[in-house]
Amino acid sequence: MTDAGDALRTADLSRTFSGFKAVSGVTLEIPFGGVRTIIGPNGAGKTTLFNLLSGLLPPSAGRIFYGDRDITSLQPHRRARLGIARSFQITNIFGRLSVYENVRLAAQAVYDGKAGFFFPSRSMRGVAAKTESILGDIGLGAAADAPAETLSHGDQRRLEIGLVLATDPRVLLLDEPLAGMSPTETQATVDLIGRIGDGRTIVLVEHDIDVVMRISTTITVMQTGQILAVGTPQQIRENEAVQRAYLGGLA
Amino acid sequence: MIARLGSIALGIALLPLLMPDGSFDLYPFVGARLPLHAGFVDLATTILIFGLFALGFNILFGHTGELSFGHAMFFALGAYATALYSKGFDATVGPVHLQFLGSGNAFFALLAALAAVAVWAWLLGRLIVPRSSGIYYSMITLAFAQVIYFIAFRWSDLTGGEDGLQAIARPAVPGLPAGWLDDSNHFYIAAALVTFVAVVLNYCIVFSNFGSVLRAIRENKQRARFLGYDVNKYRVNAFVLSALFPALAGWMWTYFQQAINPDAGSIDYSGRVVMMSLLGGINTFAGPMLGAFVYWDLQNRFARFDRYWPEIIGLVFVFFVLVAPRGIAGLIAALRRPSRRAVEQAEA
Amino acid sequence: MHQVADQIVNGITLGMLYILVALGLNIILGLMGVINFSHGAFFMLGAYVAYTLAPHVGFFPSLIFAAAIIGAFGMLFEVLLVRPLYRRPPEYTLLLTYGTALIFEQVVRRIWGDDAVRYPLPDWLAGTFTFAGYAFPVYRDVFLVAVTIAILAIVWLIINKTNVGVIIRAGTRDAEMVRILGINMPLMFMLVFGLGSFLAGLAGALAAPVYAIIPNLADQWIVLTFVIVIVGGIGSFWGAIVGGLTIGILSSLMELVYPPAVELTGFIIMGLVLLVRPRGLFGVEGLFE
Repeated sequence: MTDAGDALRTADLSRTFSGFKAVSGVTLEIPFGGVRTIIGPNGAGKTTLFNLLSGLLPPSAGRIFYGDRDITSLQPHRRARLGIARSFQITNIFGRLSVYENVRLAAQAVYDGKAGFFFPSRSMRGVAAKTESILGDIGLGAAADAPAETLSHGDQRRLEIGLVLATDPRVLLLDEPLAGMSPTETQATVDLIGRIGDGRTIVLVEHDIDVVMRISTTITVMQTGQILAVGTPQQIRENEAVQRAYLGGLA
Repeated sequence: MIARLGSIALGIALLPLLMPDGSFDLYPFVGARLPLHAGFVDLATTILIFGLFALGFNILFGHTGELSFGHAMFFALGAYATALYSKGFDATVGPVHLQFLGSGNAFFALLAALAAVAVWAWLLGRLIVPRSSGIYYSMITLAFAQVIYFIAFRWSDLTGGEDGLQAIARPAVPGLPAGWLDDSNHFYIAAALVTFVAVVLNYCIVFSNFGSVLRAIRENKQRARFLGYDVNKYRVNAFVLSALFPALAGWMWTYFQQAINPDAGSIDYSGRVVMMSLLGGINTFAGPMLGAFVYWDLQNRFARFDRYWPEIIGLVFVFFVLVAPRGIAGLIAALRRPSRRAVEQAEA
Repeated sequence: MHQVADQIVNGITLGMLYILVALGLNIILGLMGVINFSHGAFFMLGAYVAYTLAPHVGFFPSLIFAAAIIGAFGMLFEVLLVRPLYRRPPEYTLLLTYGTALIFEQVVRRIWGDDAVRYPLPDWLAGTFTFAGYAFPVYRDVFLVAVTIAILAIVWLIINKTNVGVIIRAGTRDAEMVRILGINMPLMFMLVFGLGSFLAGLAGALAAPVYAIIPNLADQWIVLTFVIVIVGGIGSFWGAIVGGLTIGILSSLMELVYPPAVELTGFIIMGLVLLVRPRGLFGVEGLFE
């Protein structure tokens, strides 16, 4: 464990769905800092791996470590409190609550347990300041009072990143944050991801290969539940196994 | 906050005047005696008690998004605890002989009622919450409410069985003459004070950090969990807190009726409070109290000439479920500020 | 011993009715994900309709007509009242059908009065039947049980051997997927709601000669039905059967052990099942998470 932050590791991690091995014997180390992107064809097990890392699914076998700590059997909310936060492939926000309230709830989560039954909400100063600053970061300050469900698709996805950010995560797991965005929205979100990388590890699942090559520090390629290759964008581009996996059907 | 609670206080104070051809004994306020219609004042007291009951229920339904179809169990448990504390009991369970002589101290009776309900709600919440949600949760709460109902119905030694417990004396109020509460108007004043204090407490809970997390859970359990909230812990706490208001209402109900029977824990009572909340509007703070007023007003109007009056209430309720599920408060909000509607309802 | 055997036979009879009612509720719940609170009222209406028809059409036809009328009524009910709520959370269907259950009870009081009505059996069913030294009432212990088993066999065949059944089973597992496959779900829902109501109506008609028919029959039955579904498992055919029989038999036996706790038997079983197997004995993991 270093002052800089903890690495997220898995050891021989597997998950089986009624016989089908979605993730199979994955041993992975994601050191602190930088942008790690997980790519691979559909059905490669990327989202399942995310679900295992964030605690949505229990693994069938193997362990997950955060720093020195074994977090394999920790509930999602405990992992979130340790600083591992995630977004979802399908936008996951509090639809009927205002944008401000969405972010405020995320910021307040850090103080969970100290938040009493009788303290009026909106009274915690740290939470309010945090909320304002996140709303600025994600560019939704002007929409603060609108119900989250009325935002455009791209804004909703950015709001979800804002929610994740507001929990003060050390590790951000972002599941296809650019899915379904217009080019302008994509660029704004890529910039946002670039800005929030300081002092954090960002783990992405993403299909937009141009963006992946541009922003990743390290890329992990998955295929049929296993790790095919790990390397810098340049290394991955030149890797023959990866080329075969992606182009094999065509060649 | 002040405006909202102030208007609720005003509503409570003026409620007896709103009753059909009701007139209120204003003696304690202006020293003048007006013609007295105790029946209507009693109706107003009933509305307060059920309004409080519904307000507690709505912590779950309106704010957490979970429909308990068995909340009458907490009302009945609170009411029976109060009655047994006041009257005393003398019952045998197997080899154990239970005996308590009874006490007129209403404050201790309240503590007994709250403690009994808190323990039962906590145990039940721990059982139900991790294992169910949605309509499954509704079915299970309904089923467990029947446990309380049948115990009240069958354990005659303790509860008086089908007839229940009667002749429960209203407590003495320190500093006031004995029997002061026996007067309908006086009882209304006392009930109004208790209710208002409870409304303020409920308001604080609902609009606290805790309450805001409940609405997050209502909107999206998964997102709340992945932000770091222990969702099931919040759901259990919400269950217990929402049970304490019916317990308090049951405490008042016992003294008000001076009798209690198993009906208080029946599906009928659980259903009433569900209907009141929806009729008034579950997404506003005071909606359930408004609903209690509407429910009892409807009943009072129709029961006089139609012995099948629940049919009319059923029709009104079905209409609201189909056409106006946000209740009367929702309709009012829609008329007043159509553009801000969604935000208001979501945040209330 | 004689008493125990007697109570077990009683329990089986009662269990048969429980199974019919619970199976009806469970098929609807499994496929459509909604609870029909008026299901208990449909049971009660089945009893009253059979009671009204019997003097005119005869005993056996009255059972069939009553069940068919309630089944048709269920379809109409689904189309007119339940269908508009599919886009809302399933709680609203529960609320709506609670409201209609209130209305049905009052309608019954208006038409048939507040008192229990008697339902006479025809002579050929009224006698007893002696076997191994025990005398069994023909209707209760033979006819009712045989009819129920026949109906269960038919329902099993519908679910397992017909195209409709394939859709019901697939839809119970994943309604969204079935919808995507282009199945006419509104029609399926209507048919399934009709089938569930038919079973409730039939159970009511069968129960009428044995149990007192009173206007507040519905409340007692709906709660028991919920308990059986929770014990057996949501959406499960065998769950309804095992749940219904278990609760029927054990609550009859409780009559010998500790009579005041008869009504509590089902709830005790439910509590235990929830502790050990939260999805019910035959329940599917993941439904209603």
